[in-house]
Amino acid sequence: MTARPPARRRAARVLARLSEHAFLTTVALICALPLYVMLIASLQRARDFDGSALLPSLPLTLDNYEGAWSDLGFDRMFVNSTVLSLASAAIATLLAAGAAYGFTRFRFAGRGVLLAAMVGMMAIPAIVVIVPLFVVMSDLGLVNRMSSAILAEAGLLLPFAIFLLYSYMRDLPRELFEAADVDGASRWRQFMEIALPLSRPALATTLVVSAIYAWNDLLIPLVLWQTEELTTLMVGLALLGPGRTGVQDVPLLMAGVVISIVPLVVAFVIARGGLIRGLTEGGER
Amino acid sequence: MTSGGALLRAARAYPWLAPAVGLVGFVLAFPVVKVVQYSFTDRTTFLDGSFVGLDNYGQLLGDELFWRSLRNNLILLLSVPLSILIALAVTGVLYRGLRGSRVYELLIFVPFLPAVASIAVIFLYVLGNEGPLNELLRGVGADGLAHSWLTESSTAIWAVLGVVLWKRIGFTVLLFMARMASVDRSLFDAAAVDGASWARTYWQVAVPQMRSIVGFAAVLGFIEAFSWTFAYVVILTRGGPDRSSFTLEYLLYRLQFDDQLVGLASAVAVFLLLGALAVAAYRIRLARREAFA
Amino acid sequence: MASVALKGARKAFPTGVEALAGVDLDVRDGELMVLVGPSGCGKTTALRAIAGLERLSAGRVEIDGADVGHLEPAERDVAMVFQNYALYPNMSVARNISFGLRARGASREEQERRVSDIAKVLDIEALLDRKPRMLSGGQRQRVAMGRAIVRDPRVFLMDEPLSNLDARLRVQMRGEIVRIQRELGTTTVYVTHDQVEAMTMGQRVAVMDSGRVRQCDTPARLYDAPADAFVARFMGSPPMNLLDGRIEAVDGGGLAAVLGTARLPLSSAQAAARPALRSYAGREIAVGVRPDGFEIGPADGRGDLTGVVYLAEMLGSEALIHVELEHVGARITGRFGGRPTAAPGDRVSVAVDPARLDFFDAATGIALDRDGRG
Repeated sequence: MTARPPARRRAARVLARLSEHAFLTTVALICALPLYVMLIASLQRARDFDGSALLPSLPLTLDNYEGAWSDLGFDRMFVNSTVLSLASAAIATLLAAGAAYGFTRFRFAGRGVLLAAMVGMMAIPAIVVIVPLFVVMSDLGLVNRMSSAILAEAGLLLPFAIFLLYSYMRDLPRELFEAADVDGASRWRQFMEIALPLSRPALATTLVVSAIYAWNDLLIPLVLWQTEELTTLMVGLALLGPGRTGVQDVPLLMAGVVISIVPLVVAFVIARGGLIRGLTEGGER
Repeated sequence: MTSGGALLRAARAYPWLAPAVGLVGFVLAFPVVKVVQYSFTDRTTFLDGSFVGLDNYGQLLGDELFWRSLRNNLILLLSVPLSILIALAVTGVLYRGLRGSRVYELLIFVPFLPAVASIAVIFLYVLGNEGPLNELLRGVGADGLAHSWLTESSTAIWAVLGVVLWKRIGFTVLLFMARMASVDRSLFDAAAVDGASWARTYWQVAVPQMRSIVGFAAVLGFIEAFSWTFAYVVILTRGGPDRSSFTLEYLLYRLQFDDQLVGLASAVAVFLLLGALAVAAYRIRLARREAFA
Repeated sequence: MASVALKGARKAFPTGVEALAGVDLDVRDGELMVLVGPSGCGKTTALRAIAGLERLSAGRVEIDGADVGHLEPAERDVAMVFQNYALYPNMSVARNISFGLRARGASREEQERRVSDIAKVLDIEALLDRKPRMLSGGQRQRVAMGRAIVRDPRVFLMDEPLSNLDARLRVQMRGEIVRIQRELGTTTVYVTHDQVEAMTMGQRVAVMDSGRVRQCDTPARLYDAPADAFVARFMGSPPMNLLDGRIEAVDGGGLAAVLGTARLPLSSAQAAARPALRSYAGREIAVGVRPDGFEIGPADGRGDLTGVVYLAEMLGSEALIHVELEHVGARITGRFGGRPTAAPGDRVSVAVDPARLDFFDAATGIALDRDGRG
């Protein structure tokens, strides 16, 4: 230890602390400011808005939310996004639960290859398959039908959902199923009464993560749901962006953006722990 | 065990697997085969087209726009090392548990939550000519730095990079903090007793322990830079100005849905597919090394 | 009620491990048969083969004389208690117990009646609405028993059901399982690695090692007449002492066991009881001495062997004394009533009763039996 006077050592420590705080504050501000200005802008009256509000000009108003909701069509978009998100997540989770159970409870030729192939499909991005997917859906007459985007989204989510649920079910105690075998329970009963109830945390994580991905997705609904009745929030935002064909009323648009984010915040607050685990375990598909 | 028994057992498993396998086959496996097949034809939306060999690939490789798109993807790829470096620095400071670090953590994480589309629309406004960023720059007297970020060809792709980076950092910090939580604290105590500063301890003791999670973050970033930039580009710049900020995904989308050139779009998709497979192979290697480490 | 049999049972796992290397086992109707052996000896695999959880590579599983090898576990009408109990964590105790009844389509009234009957027998009536995680280890054990009993199966299979309990509870449940089994009279196969459990619980005990049954007999016979050195050392605590020795013929047609410098003459009656022994005259053999099969005394005493005490352990009502034998080059452990009579460092004499010796082939370990077996 060098023999520095304690006062100077304390000063150095305080300085270090301050610089650390300064660093974090800078990063945090950069991260948070855009969302702050979004929120502020969404609360401004259009006539008060000068194009770049850092400080809100009073009075604040919720009129923009009202306006975005009913005039810009965010009500319908919200419903469409909800349907797409929940339906595709539910289908993916349900099918993945069955598949994960099949992969854990049955030993058969080709099992390992099939499992690897299914999970490996995670690596294929949606953009790669969008062209043939669109062609096939057109041939089947499903473009602009509710089912097209829901099925496509569910299919894209499945590999990840299988991955999550299989890893979980594989680690359930084997004796429970053996005991049920001896007790004379059918595989179906074991699925319903043992596998599913015990996998509840993983099922919830899978459902929520899938729903968030589907909610946030732009490409699939943009391509497969091209009618106004089937516009989702993300597609709506992409088409309404200012400066071009879209709305010039920034506060109105920002209110719409907030509407698109609120359900995610709610989902996050409800399902925080499992969600972070699910996202960090394989947050891509 | 007889082969009849094996077949029987497989048959009992199929009802559980069939729906999932069917849907994945329909949405992923079959289209992957199809896209490769299309890429050798001059198919359009309206005509089935005929076999043209490697013409599409030749046309792409001779097209300046293809190379510019690829270059832009590579620029966006810079978000990977940058986000990792920044996130490592943030994690190092956050982990020490300063007063208010939970607030910092929350604020830094916030950009992760909204969808890319939502974020992009916010930045359309923030980066606009009269937007808050320029307002801020002019407010501090740096008028010269103000740009119409998204509509000048010299800045557009870099602005997109900034937004991608901005969105990535929070999640990367989250990953790293999760890993740090499982690093053996006694290592840090030992380093402190040895007289090492925290900065030295962090970079030389803690960071090497995070190699695998850094690799994971890099893979995720790579995947994003080559397959998820579509939403950024389509909203922020629409490839403009003057096609200066096209990326491969956006090029594919325009070829397919504006020009109806299915064959050519499929050839772009095959390039992206090869990239995805390369990343997958790297991930498997990474996982193997993990397993044997 | 049923008998159970394994005939030439073999089980090779894909990893190449041969868990069962030809096992023959006959469990009589109503009998409590214990399978005991060190870990990896194949006892659990044998049990799981009877349950139908493992398919044999070769051989037969029979219940009541009928081959059940092709039947699913559910079709064999057996019940199993698992080492970790395998209680369904998402179901209440009552639902755990009635699960098998439900799976077999029993009516609600019957389920309720049988569950409450069982709960009375096992004294778990107050626990019926609880979830397994709210139960103590002993209570879980009872519920697992209840789940097996309620179905009134032909056979109970128990896989180390007491190994997760503390010592006191284990002794108590040991008695209780035996009591219940006797009351119900259900054929039971019980697997354990604990030779005390095997001795106290089994009507007959099959000692297994390396995928084979070494000996299947009553506990008393296993102790008094072990078939080989493995069984001799496995059953009994502390284990039997095995010393290298030799058999010699003495004048007048007698035999003597030679241990180091000591020469222990066998009376003609003793020799006659071990007819196989005579053919070993002049050859090396292994001599077994139970810990209570010898006396120790002062060094100048009349003992056959001498040695130095290196450890004396006081167990309360009895003492263990470990002696390093001179001339034999081996250690021997003895168990004696009361307090230790010698301290480490003491030189002592060791007096062996030839009538209590066991003899084994030095190479194969097979017993040169008192009955002339081997």
